[in-house]
Formats: sequence, C-alpha cells, structure tokens
Amino acid sequence: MSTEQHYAVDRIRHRTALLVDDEQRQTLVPTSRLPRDLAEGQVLLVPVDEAGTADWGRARIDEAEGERRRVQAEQAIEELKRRDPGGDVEL
Amino acid sequence: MTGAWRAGVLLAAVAWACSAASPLQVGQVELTFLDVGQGDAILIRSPEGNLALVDAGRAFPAEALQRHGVGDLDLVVATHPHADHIGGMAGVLRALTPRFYLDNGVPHTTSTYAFVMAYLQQSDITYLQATDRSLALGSVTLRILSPPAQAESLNDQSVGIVVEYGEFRALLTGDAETTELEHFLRLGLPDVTVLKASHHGARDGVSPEWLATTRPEIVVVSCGRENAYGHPDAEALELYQAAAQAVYRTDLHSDVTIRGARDGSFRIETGRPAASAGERTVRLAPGQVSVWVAPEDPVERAVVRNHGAESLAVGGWVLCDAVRHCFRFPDTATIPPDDSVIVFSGAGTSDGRRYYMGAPQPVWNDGGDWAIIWDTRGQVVARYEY
Repeated sequence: MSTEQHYAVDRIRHRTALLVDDEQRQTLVPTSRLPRDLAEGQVLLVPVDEAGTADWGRARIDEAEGERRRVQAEQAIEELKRRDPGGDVEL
Repeated sequence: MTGAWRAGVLLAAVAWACSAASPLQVGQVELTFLDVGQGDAILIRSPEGNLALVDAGRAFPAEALQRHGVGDLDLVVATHPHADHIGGMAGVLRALTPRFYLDNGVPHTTSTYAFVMAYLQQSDITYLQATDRSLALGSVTLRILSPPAQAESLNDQSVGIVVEYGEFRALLTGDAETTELEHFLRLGLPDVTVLKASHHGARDGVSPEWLATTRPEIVVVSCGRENAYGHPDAEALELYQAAAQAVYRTDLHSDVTIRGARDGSFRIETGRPAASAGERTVRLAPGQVSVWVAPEDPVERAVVRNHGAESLAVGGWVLCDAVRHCFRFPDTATIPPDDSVIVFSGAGTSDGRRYYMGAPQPVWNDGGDWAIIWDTRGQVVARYEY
C-alpha cells in the first residue's frame, strides 16, 4: 500500500532540488523529475511505496501545506522577536 | 589595508597542526572555520573566552566542536535557514545552551527549520533580530549587517557579520550572492583581514567590486570534498587568488583557525596541509580533461577524454552525476594521450579502457543532468551539463 509524504524544497541549484522530508532527511532530485516551476520553500506531496521509494514523477505541489508552514513560522518569529532587548547588546 | 604582507602569513606555511587547537594566546581573537563537509560552521572565540558559532553545518558538528574544546556558547547565529547552515542547529541548541540566538527572521518551510523554531520557543534563549547593530563578544565586536527585506532567494537574505578586534577584521556573509553583496557594499564596509568566501566559493558569491572594497589578505572557502555543487568555482578561485595573499579551503585543509591580534597581525593553523605527503598531484592544463555522457543511448555511458599529449593517471578520481551516483576510478587507471575511456552505468568487467559503475538502473537523467569529475585532492577537473 502506498502512502504520501511531504517534502519541502530547501533550495534549488544546478537544476537539482534539495528536498527535506518531515524527519529532516535530505534528498537531491533533478528538477526535471519534479513539477515545473518549482520554487524554494514550496512543499511537495509525493507518493511513496511500501519500500519507501518516492515516485517523483507523481509529486504535486501542496500549496495549502506550504502556506500553513509559512504562517506557523511567521507566528514563531513574531513571538521570538518580543524577547529581543533591541539596540546594541553585550553578550 | 596597506597590502603589506603580515608576519602571520609567513608563519602559516609551517603552522598546521593535526591535533586540537592550540591554547588561545592572551589578546587574540580566534576564528575557526570548522570542517563540516558541504556547509558552514564558524567558531569565534574572544580573548576572554566568550564563544559564538555562526551556522551549524548540515548535521550537529559535535566532533568538530569537541576538537576545539567548545562548551557552552554565548551566541549562535543562523545566517539563513538552508539545511547546510542550520541542519545541525537543533543539536547545537540542545547540547550547547547558547544564551543568545540571532537569525535573519525569514521563515522557511522545512522540518529542519521547524525543529529549530520549536526548540527556541520552548527555551529561554534570547532572540536577536538581524538589524544593523553591534554585539559585544567580550572585547570583540560583532557588527551585524542586516539583509535586504526582500530577495529572490534565501541566499540573498543571509546575515552579514564584521568581526572586529582592533585592526583585525573578518567578514562573514553566509551564502550571499552578488545581489546581496551589492547591498552590503551600500551599507559601507571596511577592508578586512579575513574574508569568508560567500556561498562556499560559488561564482555568484564574489565580484571584482566586492574584492576591491573588502581587500582581504586571507580568503577561506568552507566546502565539502567532492561536493555535488562543484564548489569552489574555478573562476571564483582565480578572483580570490588574485586578490588575496592566500586562500584556504576546509575541503583541503580541514579546520582553518586564524588567531588575530589587535594590531591586525595574525597566525593561521590548519587541520592538515593542503597536499599530504605522498599524495599524488597532477597539474592539468585548462580543458585537458573532458567528460561527456550519452543518457539516451541504449547502453548508457560517460566518456572521459584526455586531450593531453601524455598518458594521464586518473586513479582515485571520482565521476558523479547531480545526485551523487558516483564511480571511483581504480588506483591504476590511466587514460592514454589524446584518447578516452568509457564508464558504463551498468555492470561488467573493467579492462582499463572500459569501466562499469554497476548501477542497477540508469544513472544519467534524460531530461537534464550533469557529470562532474574530481581529482584526488577534491579539485574539479571536468564538468558536463546538459
């Protein structure tokens, strides 16, 4: 039975995407095997078979998950900013 | 900078050490570019013993930090949230309990980033924004260079840091590319003693204007051996070598430690010399070796050609595609003058002219890929992109 797994696009260099799954595992995949116009920060939903092999050809961009992660991150940043004493700091 | 050859540089030629870092002398700031493979992790130690870590590599650099006797940290900086800079950050935060954390405040969607933010939120670490401000690390000043508010990539929103200790200055810019380097130039920069090659020595991490303003005496490239990106770029290296007195590389020298004094003098130690005793080095003419692949042929193969007039020893050289399917040439492998060898993707018996990667499936991607060859020192000798 196959499942689906999220991979976030950490960065793209030389037509190769570095993808990070939810367990922080990193995978390099040529962009030619992934959806067109893929951009850094987008999140992919990828079918994965029982052996754990990802079917990159059937990967699709999960816009909602990408937005959810961005909003969550922005909220965390705003919360952390409140700890900043501001100005120059003696460490 | 006067351009005078500082006494410390001459000492560097003989001052490499295989063991843990030497004790810090009174009145010196210490920068160590840790050998963490393809990533960045830079340790800054003030004369008073205060410690800051700029980036944390791809994975928690426990061994590298242990080599340098690092206990708790005063400050950790994440220049930008790519995995080769924050992959080890969660481990650093857990194990080394920094009191302050600074990043560029730009969100990312990876689980790596989410783990870091979750840890920060549940900790009592003081978060610092990357505004134009100064941080006092003992008697060392860290001048933060704020990234632009908007950029096309996370690289171009890297935090910049000028490390200042009297006349000794170092400049760290994460993976900033030329767009952000121009932004930093507009902020105003001093000339520096040490320049970290931005973006691991990529061509887009340097410009003649950048070097004309910063005027580094020493350039340090932080990159991994045989990395998939071909860092450092040959053209960038030429620019650095023309501008600076010396270029050090973590892939060749391992840890690079620079101890600077208030008068601007400095001393360098490296984890290993660039070319180990007995290691074979081959000086190649530009374009002497080429590689070409035929991904759509029924029998997939790469062709490696020696355009030179003499036989070329290629033992230990590594041929890889973009996603690290690799083949290492046997120790005795040679390519005759003006001739080629073929590396087939599948299985077979090598005969000195034909080699086999033994891959169970095709290696070279039909829709676009690249082939890259490194020599035994990790230098890129040939590259083919399609």
